[in-house]
Amino acid sequence: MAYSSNEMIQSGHTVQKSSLWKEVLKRFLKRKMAIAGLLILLLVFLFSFVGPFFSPYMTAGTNSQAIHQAPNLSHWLGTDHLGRDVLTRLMLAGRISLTVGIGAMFLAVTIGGILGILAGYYGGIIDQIVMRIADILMTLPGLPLLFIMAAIMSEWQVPAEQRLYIVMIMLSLVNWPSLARLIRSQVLSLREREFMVATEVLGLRDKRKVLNHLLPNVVPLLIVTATLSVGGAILSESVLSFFGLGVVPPTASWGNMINTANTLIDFTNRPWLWIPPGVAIFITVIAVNLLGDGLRDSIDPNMKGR
Amino acid sequence: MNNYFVKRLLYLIPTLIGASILIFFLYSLIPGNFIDTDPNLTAERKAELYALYGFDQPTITRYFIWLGNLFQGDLGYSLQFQRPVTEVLNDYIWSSFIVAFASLFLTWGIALVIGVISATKQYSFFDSFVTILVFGAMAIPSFFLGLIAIKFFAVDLGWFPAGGMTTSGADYTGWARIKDIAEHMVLPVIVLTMLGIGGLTRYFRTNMLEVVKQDFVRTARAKGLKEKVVIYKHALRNALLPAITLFAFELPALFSGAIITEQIFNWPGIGAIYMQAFSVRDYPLLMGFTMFIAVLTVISNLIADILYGIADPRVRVK
Repeated sequence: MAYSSNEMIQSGHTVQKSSLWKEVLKRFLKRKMAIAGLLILLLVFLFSFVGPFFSPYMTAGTNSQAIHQAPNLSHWLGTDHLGRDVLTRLMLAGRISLTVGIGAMFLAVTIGGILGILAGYYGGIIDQIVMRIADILMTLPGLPLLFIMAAIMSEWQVPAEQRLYIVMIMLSLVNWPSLARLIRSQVLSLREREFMVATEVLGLRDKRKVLNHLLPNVVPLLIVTATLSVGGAILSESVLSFFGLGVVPPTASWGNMINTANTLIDFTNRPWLWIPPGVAIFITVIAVNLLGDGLRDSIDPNMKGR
Repeated sequence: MNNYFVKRLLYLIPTLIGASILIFFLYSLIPGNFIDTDPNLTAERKAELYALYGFDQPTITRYFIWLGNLFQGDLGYSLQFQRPVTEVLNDYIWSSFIVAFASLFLTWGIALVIGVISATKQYSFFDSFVTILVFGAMAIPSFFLGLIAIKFFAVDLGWFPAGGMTTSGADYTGWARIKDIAEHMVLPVIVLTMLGIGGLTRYFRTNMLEVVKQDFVRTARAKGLKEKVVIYKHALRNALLPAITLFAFELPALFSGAIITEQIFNWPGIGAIYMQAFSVRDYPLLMGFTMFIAVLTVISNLIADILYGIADPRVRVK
């Protein structure tokens, strides 16, 4: 008996949920800019993850006979100081930059989401501790904080291929406070709503209240902030790598490819080395922001802006 | 109001103490020391210098010494410049300030005009164009924008100097000097303005769109006021109110120096000095500067809250 009524609630819940998401999809499909963003993003992913398989230079490595070539028919974006094909490197760098962006987003949203929900739902001492730590972290300027962490972690002698994980952790440590604050304020307003009061009346356990009733209502906000924060993470990664504090060569990332511009001769005479990665970052971040904006407008038409 | 103000002021103390702990211990975790960067020193001389600057003390003791000095307004002694940190900050902050101030002025002016026009003509060609530009401005890495600006406007076209604050070797005085500095400022200011303008334009646009929908605007229209008066007098004023808060949040940025932009344009501001101090591990300067920014941030948050309460009494906190 108890089982069947439970099932009824469950099925009723899913029916309503699917129609909600159908509505969202319908609104989303009406937004040309958001769809353009999604398509561009798909292309960037294909370019980075599938593209290298079509490159004849994938296994070529360095080639002392072909250094510093300007863009030509066999090397569409020219070659660098070690004779590596810039286009292939651009694709491989894309893998790293996209991975860092998405990974850092997942970590930051997980930390910020869990702490924000806990702080907002339980209030009291937990709220005080979490939000005071967030406050303190937010008073410190972001870039110096990243520099400090990079300097501390460089001591750990992490191999170059694994530096991207360090960068992810650093970025998420800097970004979680603002996410936690956002989620917390959402939870605070949800907590007072009728459906949450109803769970109180029903005497549900905390775990069920939070996971089955509170979380689904925070998910839309989570999706939107997560999407938008990917763009920010890709930008921060490029800054760190540009200054040699993020992903370091020989592993390529879009940021450290632009680093070649620090050499005067490469900067003035070989723009094919550093302009393409910058353009790649630009295109990717625009696409991410368009997508995130479209998602926000279609998930909740009322929270437009900001 | 008074009570609220005092409460908020007291609230700052634990935050600032927390920030000072975090700043001090994070910096002390960084490997390397200014004294170690000089390879010519003998072991004895190093030990002497360690004792002289107090690096031989345990970290906790050093923290309390540092904190004690902070309360007396003493940020310590820069190892690299061999001068008090406050003097060094005072020397370099103003060149950061003029760039930041010029770009802040431009950013707000342009964003306000564009945002309002784009909101009053929602979905027009101009509006879509602005929206695209805004997205573009928010997606460029700052250092890349700086590099592109130098490449095209300084190297290829030769319109503006590529970096620095004055022409090296030239000994201008009076107006010639001011003109020289102004020419060097153009590119950094343009870059900073472009970086900041996206978010702000969007902000003004959404605010304006929200306000225009409200009843008092309909009333103003209904009583037959000219559209211009409705938009620029009744609506704009209300759309501007929340921006006061935003303006207060920008205060620390005026003094913190744009680390990346200053580095790219070789502008002798506090941001570039910070990077330089970082590479030689001049901890007193690094900690002093970070703490200074933390204090500014906390104060400007407080100002923002108070201004918001004055501007919109409905949000006055219990």
